[in-house]
Amino acid sequence: MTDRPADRSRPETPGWQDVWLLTVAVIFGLVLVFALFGAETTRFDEVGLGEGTVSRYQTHNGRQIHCRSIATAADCLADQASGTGRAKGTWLGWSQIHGVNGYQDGQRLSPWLMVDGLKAQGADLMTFSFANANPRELYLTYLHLQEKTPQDFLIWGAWLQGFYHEGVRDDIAATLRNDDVARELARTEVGRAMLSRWGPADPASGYAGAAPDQGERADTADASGKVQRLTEASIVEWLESRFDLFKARREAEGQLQLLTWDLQQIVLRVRNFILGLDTKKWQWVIPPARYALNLQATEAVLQDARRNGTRVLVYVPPRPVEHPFRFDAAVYTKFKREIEDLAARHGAAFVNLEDAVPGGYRVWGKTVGGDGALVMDGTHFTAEGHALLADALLDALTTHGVVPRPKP
Amino acid sequence: MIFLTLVVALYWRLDQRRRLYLLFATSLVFYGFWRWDFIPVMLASTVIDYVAAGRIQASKDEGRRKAWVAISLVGNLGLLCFFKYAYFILGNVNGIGAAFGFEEISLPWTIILPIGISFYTFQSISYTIDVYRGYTEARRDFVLFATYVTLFPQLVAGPILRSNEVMWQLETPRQFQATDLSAGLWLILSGLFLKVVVADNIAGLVDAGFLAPPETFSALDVWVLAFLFGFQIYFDFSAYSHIAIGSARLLGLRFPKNFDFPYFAASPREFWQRWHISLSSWIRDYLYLPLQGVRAGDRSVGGLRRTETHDLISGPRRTGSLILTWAIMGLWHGANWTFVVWGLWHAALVLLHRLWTAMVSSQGGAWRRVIGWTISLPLVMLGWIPFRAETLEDSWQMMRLTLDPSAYLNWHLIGGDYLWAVLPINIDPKAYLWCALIFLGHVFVWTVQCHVLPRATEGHWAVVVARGLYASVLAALVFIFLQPTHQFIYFQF
Repeated sequence: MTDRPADRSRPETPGWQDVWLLTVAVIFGLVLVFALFGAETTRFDEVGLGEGTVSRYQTHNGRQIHCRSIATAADCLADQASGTGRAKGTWLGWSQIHGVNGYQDGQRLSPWLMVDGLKAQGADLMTFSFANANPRELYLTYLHLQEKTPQDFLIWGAWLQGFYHEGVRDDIAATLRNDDVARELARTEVGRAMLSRWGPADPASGYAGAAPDQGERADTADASGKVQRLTEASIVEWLESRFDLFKARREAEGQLQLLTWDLQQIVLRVRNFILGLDTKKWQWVIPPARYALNLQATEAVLQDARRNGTRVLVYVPPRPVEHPFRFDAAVYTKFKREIEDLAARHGAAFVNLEDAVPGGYRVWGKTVGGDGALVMDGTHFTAEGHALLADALLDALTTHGVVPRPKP
Repeated sequence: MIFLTLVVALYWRLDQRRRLYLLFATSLVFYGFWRWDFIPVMLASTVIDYVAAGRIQASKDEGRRKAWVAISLVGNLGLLCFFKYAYFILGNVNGIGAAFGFEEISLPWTIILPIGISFYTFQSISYTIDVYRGYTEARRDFVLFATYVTLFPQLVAGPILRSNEVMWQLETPRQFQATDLSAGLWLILSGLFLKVVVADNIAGLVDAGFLAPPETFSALDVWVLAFLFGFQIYFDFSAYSHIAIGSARLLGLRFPKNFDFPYFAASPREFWQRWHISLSSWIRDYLYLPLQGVRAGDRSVGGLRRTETHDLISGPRRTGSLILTWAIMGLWHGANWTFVVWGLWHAALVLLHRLWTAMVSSQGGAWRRVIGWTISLPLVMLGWIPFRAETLEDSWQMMRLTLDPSAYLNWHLIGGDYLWAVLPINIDPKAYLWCALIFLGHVFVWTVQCHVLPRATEGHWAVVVARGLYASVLAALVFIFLQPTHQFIYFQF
């Protein structure tokens, strides 16, 4: 029996020298973080919109009319609920609604203008918009809102680019835990697919992944470590509230994430240079299965709205004709036709607002770079563009009887 | 970190006996941070093996000794089966029952899998079997044995240690050494970097990728997701091992390494000599070799290395043992058929490798290794698909795509103006970038660690400065990305 093996480790460097080296290095690393990022505060939620575009979620006479996440939906819902006896409506969309080019203080965006315009018609509108929202995310958002406060009307933007995007962000996926939402989802094929993919655990299913909530799977260890997590979270929160060094962490993390984005662009530019490619000509190709799922989600919303007596206006959003379109023309034509057919089949109003915001760079443009070059990104417009969109939507809502005509 | 600092500070102020009490008590507190109500389950496993080992040593009667081994196995595996496999078994019984028109059976309670149960039961079992085999002595000191089973640095995710590797260290008075402190701190810093900077940053891309419907993937996407998850699980788990080994080192305890650059293995068999070495060695000594009636080792080193017992049986029994071993290895990781498929995938790779080496000469040197690595790495990575996929159906769809030539290109765009768009990238392009960066970074680190550092002059000013800068960057990045919410993947197993 030989329990005790000989210590055969090779001679090591003097330990204390190494400990001091490590201590100095760690302190130097922390000083470096503070020196590089301590003084900056970047609005990272706007960086994704591109240079020259900012996001604004405005209030109307103190009322929260525009929400950026399900987590804050209660604010919009509470303010809408206070308008007793008035028609309640929701506008669901993407960054075209909260993004604005060349913004100046005091300018109003389309959600504000819509609320203002609908006031006389006895309707209270709230808006939810998420960057790069896809129809499945909006479907969940719609069900969540309907479950909280049944809506009388809905404005639904049919945006082809949204069909390109995949996934459901965490705060929206959390709505799948709501039994009422889950029950509604279970009615449709796409809803069932979403439930099985993003929904809460079925005790009989296995899971090996690394999602933060995986501990709920009953046949894997509950690794959520609640006491530990709460303790750590409280310590981190306390440290961030007291020390500038800890506050700098968020800035540093954001800047490093941006760095990977820049790196991606550099790699692509090098590739383009070597292969002589002109990427401005390239198309975005939506995988057929993803397109089908998003179309089904759109249809599910229209079906549910009809069943609940919610009037719907479906619109194809404005786009600048001067800007190169990233999708194949035939695909886009087919998309518009299919959306119009869906609307007709399920009793929703349809309007094509592709040309509703004319004016080229005046309404779609923004200045970027040190030389102030005028460019357009193809999605966002200026406050003037927002006004044009609001006018077009208000007109369509009234014309199609989605909201009552204003009393003379 | 606060917990570890306090324990280490107190530990070195106590005498050996009190150190044992401290380690045992703090290990229970550490476990209690997760859930205190599961501490009795862990202690039950400990008591079973403490009693069984003592009785085995005391008895001369072979039948009685075997009976106590059986009690240990039934007790530990019973706990494991109940907590880990109850839903799996029930789901399969219900599936079969439904085919014959039986009503679904459901459990009247919810079973939660105690964290670390797969690790501490295996560790506990190994002790009893080692006592039976005469590899170690049964300890009369319960606190000593309980500390060995519950030792907090490796309690929840290994390495799975043998009694011969740890008990003597716990029994022997340890002297504080600065080399232990510096080595431990370096290991912890490296582990934190691998976890919070590398593994956690790609976790979001992997999760989003595997949650998307597989029918929306291209073949390239599947390969990138397979590699990316392969990197995630490796860095996540090896990070934990680094931290566990480093924490033990702060207490003057030395654990064997658990990973040895597995993605640079030149064959599937070599992969298992480098990946989760303590588990693969355990499986070798307590399952695979016994299945063949071959004498096993007593150390958690070497992985599934061919041992001195090279005169293994051949033929169907050997192949059958291999397949059974791998199916169990898969099931150990999780109660789902996807894990069994993963295990069988590796069984198939090892069998193919055996066939190949039987046919081809073993000469060839470096080029042979490069070719072996080029073939082995993608196959090992592809194996992670069933391991990570939500369902068998998803796994199958994803694996099938890699064999489908039409899934590699957007054929309908060929000939148009959009040359590059013929390469279908349907997941977040950032996944491709991270995959490439991590691959290149890993090759760089391997080159430096295995080929540059061994030749560097210890203590040379350039080496000292380079180590200092390296530590500064690591510390800065860990500080920036450290979040309280991301747990280690292997905590689930």
